[in-house]
Amino acid sequence: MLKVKQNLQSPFIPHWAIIRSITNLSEDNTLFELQIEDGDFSECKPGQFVQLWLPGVGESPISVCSAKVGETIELCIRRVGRVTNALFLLNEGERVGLRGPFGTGFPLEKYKGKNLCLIAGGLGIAPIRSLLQHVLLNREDYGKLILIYGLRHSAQLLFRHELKHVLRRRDIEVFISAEEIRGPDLPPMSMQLGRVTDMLSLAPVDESYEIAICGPPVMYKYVVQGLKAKGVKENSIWLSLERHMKCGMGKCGHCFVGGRFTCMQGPVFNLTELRFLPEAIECEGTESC
Amino acid sequence: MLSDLKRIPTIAVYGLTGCAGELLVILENLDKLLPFVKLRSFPFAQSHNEITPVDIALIEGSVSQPHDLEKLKEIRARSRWLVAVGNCAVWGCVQAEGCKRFSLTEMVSSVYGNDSKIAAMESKPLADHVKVDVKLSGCPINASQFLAVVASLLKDNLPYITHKPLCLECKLKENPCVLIEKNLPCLGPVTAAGCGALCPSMGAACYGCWGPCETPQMDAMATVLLEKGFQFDEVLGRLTTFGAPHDLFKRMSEFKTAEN
Amino acid sequence: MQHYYSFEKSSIGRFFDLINKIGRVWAPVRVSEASFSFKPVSNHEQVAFEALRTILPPKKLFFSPEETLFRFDENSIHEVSPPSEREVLFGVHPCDLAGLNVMDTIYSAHPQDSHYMKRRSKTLIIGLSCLPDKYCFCESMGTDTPKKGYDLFLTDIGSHYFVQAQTPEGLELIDSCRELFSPADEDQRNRFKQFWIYRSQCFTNKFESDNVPAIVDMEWDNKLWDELGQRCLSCGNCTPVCPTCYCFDIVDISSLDGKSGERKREWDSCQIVSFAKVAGDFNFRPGPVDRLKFWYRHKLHGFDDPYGFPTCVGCGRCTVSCPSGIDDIVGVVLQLQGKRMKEQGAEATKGDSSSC
Repeated sequence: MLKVKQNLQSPFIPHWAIIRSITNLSEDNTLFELQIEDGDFSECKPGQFVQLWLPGVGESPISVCSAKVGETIELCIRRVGRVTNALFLLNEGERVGLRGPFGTGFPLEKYKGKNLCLIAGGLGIAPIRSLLQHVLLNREDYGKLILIYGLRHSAQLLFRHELKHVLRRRDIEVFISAEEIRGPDLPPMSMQLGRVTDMLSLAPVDESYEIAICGPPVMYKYVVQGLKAKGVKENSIWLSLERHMKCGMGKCGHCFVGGRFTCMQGPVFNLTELRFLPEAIECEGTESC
Repeated sequence: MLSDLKRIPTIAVYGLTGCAGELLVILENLDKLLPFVKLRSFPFAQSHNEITPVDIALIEGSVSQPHDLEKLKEIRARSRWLVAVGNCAVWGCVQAEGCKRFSLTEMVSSVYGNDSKIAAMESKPLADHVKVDVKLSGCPINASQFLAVVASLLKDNLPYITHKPLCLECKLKENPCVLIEKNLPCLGPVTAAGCGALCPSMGAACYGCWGPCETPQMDAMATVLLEKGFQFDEVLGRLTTFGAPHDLFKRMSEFKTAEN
Repeated sequence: MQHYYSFEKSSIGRFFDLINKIGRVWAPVRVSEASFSFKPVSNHEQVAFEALRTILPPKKLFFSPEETLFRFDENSIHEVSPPSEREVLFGVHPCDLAGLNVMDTIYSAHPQDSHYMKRRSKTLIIGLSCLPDKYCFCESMGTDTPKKGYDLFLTDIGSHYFVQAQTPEGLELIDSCRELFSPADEDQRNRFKQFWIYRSQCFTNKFESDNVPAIVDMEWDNKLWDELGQRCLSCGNCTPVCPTCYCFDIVDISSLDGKSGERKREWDSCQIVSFAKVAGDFNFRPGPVDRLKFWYRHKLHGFDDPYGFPTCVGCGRCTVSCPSGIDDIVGVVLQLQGKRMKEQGAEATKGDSSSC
């Protein structure tokens, strides 16, 4: 008979958290600050994710969005599905559930002492923000720093006030682009017309850089091509994969790619690893960046 | 949120062209709803009905006559959430695709006589005429799914309704497969689950009364049935009877042309 | 070290009396002309000893087709634990034992799935030998002998059942009725060895398995996948019947008062279109070809990391359960290996259990 340890707890039970603040970042994106009531999320690392639970509605996997998680956790959420739509109806003071953190996160130790280029497409800025914060907080541990952030439309720019501060710093080069720039609410910063790949060709990225990428699935193939053209080595390229995730614990199978559970062995993978996983980044899609 | 307004949410239940099967299911479960909602209108079940704005309108039946359409548009105009309940409202059922092989005027005259005043129109599901917020298929609907839909809408959330194939539900009940073991023309692979695999559990073939599952593989289904010796017209008739829309069969029509 | 006993087949009634005392006994029962199912039984007469494959594999006892994980109200969450009464699962063949081992690996990996583990740890498992039919190919997958995961394993050696006891619980059962069991004698040990030699010669459905993972990757763009995908119904029949398909969906059921509810899980299938769809409707496996190929690779190639083993155990359930006849794993492997040409139409998949 299989042995089971005493008082084994169900890993499906969420911890409670209370919505402390809600900050609109763009039409469809909002930053939720959650006060953690029970459970310990202080081990959260950039690139990891949590499962956000709305009682009676369901769970949704959300990237951790800030470098430090203490009594509160920040989640940048796009209203795109059933669960997130329901979340947008909630007010400050209302209760949600959290499980996690899950996944591996970005390889902070491997990045140490190296030049870094962070590449975000659209909502991919959420996990990239946590990594950026971490690097800026420990700036002396890292070499040169580049941020590339691409959008479909200028109005979708997230964290614009934070980015203003980042733009003023002398220890980071920032390239922001949108495929469409218009409207009275033009962001007060240098934004260029184009795609992430156009910014990449402008950026002084070379083989000395370690790369962190997060964005819509179709972006990856082109960004990887661009990086390789600049001489970046495959084992320096780290990508965060988006997948359907139900459990976060390598059981439910929804995130399975090739031979791996994205939720456990990812969501951040090295490109050398991904090349051995069929269907990991080569896929059809309608989104562009 | 509805519940925050400190008033009881309102619902109304209507029937267009249908068999009233869903209305019966709703009636049977009304006692569970009434502690949480105020019933403004339910002509099938009560005689005093109000024409007022409602939070949730539940509509059974397809649009088959001009007065169905008028009624539907009028209800839509005063409802926050419009829910199509049952196959007729969601897919159009037998009176839609199932009747397409006959001419409308011939049908009317043969059923109601030549000088009939019945103004029949081509039968269509609700979404072909107005915006439908939630589609809950069934023939009749599943009571627990229905209650879950209302529970979600009362919190202003869209309900989670899966459209997985019936086969999955049937396998979970561990029924012997009637398509394989008995060579019955079972439509489980392309039909939406939710009924609890009633027919296959009794050893009968699923005839698709809940309408298609999400992205049904109609060509593969037709291939399987044709290989079992069923005739093409029989197969197409079976697949379309419960309102599976015509564009699901584009490749099959080509298939038939090639066959001839 | 294992312990070896035997008991007379005519005493099977007493054996069932004995295991019935432990708890509810599940055993294969005939449910139609061609199908069997693990169901609770009260005596040996209800048991279909001839059953090769049940419709659903024994995973259903531990990984429930549908179960409530917890209930909640406004302020609290209450875990729902599976019932703790002991149970006995009788008649598990080697392929299904191998299947349970795969399930154990997934569900016992950190963090352990408490629902699965609690069910698994309260159940005594009694294996039973079998002879292959034309769909069995456990020999090709290396899962044709009982390796682990059982408490007792019974091998049919003619007049007797040869009993291997592998765990303290299994041995305890034997000790509780020493008049039924006797230590296996030399003749019985020889007959046991002969049985397994004979059995391994009975397989007609087989392939050379050494290069299968390599071939599957090599032939990733083979047009065979398109041909199979064209026939695929995306009905999901192949996954619930698989002893190692562990995927599930989780749903919230809200009560009408909007304050309480429950969170349930139920079996899901990678063959269903919505399985790999993320919010915003981007689908990583939009077509039947993508999904079928994914499933085949997972079964034959399995986990690259961290487990490193294939997840097919060669039971043949998918082959007999596919209405479209495309889950002929042996046929597909032989075609990918270039050893068999494409077959005409669908192979008959009716449950034919002619043993050798």
